[in-house]
Amino acid sequence: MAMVVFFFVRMNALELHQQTDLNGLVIEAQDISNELMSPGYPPAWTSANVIRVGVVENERVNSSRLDALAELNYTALRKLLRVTNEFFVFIEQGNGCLVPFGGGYGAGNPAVSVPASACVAKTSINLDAADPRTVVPITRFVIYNSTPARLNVYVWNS
Amino acid sequence: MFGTRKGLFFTFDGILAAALLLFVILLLPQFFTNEIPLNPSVYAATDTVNVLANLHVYEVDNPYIQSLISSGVIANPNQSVLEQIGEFWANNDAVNASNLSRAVLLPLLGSNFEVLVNGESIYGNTSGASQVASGRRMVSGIAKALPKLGYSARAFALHTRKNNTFILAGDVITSSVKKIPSGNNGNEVNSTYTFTIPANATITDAYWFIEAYYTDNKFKAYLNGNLIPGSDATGDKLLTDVESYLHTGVNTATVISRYGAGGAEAGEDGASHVVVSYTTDTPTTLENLDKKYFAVVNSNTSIRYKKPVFALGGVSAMNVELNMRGSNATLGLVLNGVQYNVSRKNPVANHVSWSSSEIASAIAANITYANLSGQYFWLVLDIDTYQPQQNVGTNRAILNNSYVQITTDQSPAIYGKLDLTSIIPVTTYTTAQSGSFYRNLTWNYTVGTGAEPLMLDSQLAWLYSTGTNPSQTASSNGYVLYAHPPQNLVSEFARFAFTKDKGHIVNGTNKYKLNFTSGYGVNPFNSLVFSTQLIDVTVPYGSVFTTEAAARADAVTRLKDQLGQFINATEVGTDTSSLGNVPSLWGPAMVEVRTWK
Repeated sequence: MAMVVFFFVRMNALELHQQTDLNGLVIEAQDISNELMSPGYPPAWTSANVIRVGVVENERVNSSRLDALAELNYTALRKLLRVTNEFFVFIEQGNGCLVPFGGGYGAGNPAVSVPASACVAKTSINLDAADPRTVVPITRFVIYNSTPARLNVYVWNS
Repeated sequence: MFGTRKGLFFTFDGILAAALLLFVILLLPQFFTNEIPLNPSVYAATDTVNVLANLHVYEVDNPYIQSLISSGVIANPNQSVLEQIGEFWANNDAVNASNLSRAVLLPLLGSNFEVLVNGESIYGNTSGASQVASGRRMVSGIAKALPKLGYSARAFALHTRKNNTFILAGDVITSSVKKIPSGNNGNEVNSTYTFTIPANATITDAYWFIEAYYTDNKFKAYLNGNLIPGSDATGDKLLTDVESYLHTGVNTATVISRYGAGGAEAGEDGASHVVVSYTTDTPTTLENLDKKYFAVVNSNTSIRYKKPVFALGGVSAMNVELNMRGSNATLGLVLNGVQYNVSRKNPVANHVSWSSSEIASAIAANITYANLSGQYFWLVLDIDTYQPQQNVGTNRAILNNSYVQITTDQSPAIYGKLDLTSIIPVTTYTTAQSGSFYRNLTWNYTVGTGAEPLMLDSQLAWLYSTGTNPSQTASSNGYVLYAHPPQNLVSEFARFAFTKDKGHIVNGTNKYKLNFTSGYGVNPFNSLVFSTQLIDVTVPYGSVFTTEAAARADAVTRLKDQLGQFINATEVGTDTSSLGNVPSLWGPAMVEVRTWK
């Protein structure tokens, strides 16, 4: 009987903790996506002079800034985005293929692996090595290469 | 015996089972990764409508749409998809409006969306959907050539260069230079102030006004140890163009005063000042708001040092740390012309200190720290029993790193803003008391929009006819801040300052007035009135314009106006916001996209 009571108490505590975690993750996911949906600063920023990270101007993804984003090391990127959780950013075209940039298929936690292929789907993104506990995805709509596309952000805690 | 052993086995089994169960309960959740599907419609609707407003029709990679372009059904492929949908709707071409919507949005959103124009469904159906989000964008120009969107912008100065003024206002420092019963005792009163000019500043001008305690005192003046030519003077001296003797970083200003023609004491009367104009990229240059240093003073007779202290906020604590040479030190406090004694102390290893509680309890019978808030009070420090006329003896000194530390209950939020100190020239002066000393003086000045007035400070070259009882009134914007009577006569009305509280300083035009009756006057030409303001280096979103460029230009203009003539924004950033629901710009059609889970 004591074990049953302990089980429910434990599960309730976990649920409350997870809810708190979730709120933080959602806020950070929104913050990251909002930042990325801006042009960034300075105009035509590079990884060497970036003050604000942003890759979208007039709803259009700027490929140069996308590459610059990938050039930033993860620690610097987290600092620029002022986040405490882990994250991975990628862009999915209307046909479901991920946009290649910066020599890979996304930017963020270096533990995330995405095996290359002709058309990499987002289901190929492997977060296992990053050991996520709760993952919050957020999708924003943008124009990439004259085509509507999805800018996705995964945010998680370990 | 056998039965006991069997019971022991069952107990171990039970413990092992419970431990295993506990292990599973504790660790099971750790093995799972929870992916929380965020409500997809949170941003989808607004993002989608923005994509439609920015995607040109010719960009849509769809054979059907390309055929409409080729056939001329779509006459202007350069316009946005949003405008084209509106145009189809306005032309009652519901089929093409629907097909265009589907061609663009189906790959992006799947089937969970609806497009409407002026509330009329073009594609999809919201009925039965839950948690519907809506994004709207106005389309004009279909029937009328009205702007499609309004734009508003804000601006922020990323780098600035300000023309600032540093003011070192001297204290009242006296020491005897007359022997008993008469004549020069040979003493020299040496006072040295230390001050700092920001490291990256460019000094553009500097002058030094020195006013001795007795009008017959002789003195010499040194900047950074170098004698200033022409400074060997009597009574007072204005030394102009002394910037070449100064540098960025730490500087010193030394006055060595001596016997003149009968005056018993030499030193300074509290009206001396060094004024340095400089430009700098550093936004925040205010220093020592709560920590006021004493000048280093050397003399071979007793020393009296009167230090004016102005606290911006409510005073909650105060302590004095004094490095000195002499037999003893006596501390007193003067507020509104009334002196309150604190205590006399003997130095230990050339050091004396007064704690906050010591000072508070010494003055408690008459005033509290709260009485000191927002106005000038004076600390009076004697090194050895002070005698205006005295034969020379051993060296007495106030040594380096002596200060009064004040704790206020509210510190102004000076960081993140740009501080600017500027001198206010006198506006009017009437009714001469004597020579250049006047009884009625006014300083008018303006605080710009977006600036937060921090304080107005004044260092006054005063003249008091001993034995008279003149009235004294200081007022700002019509508020009387000090008046004798009923308050006490302040014979050394050398300092007066106030903050913005209660409308004493406002954004706009301000008027600071000093009025005296016969027996008192202020020389406006040797006085300094100066204001310190905190200026926000950002301007918020402003009016709505039909183009983004016009909105940016407006924001930059507003920022420059706010920064004023003394601050130059060397690098300006802007953010623009497009507004679709500006009533004045509403057009004939509102395109709406609804999305749901």
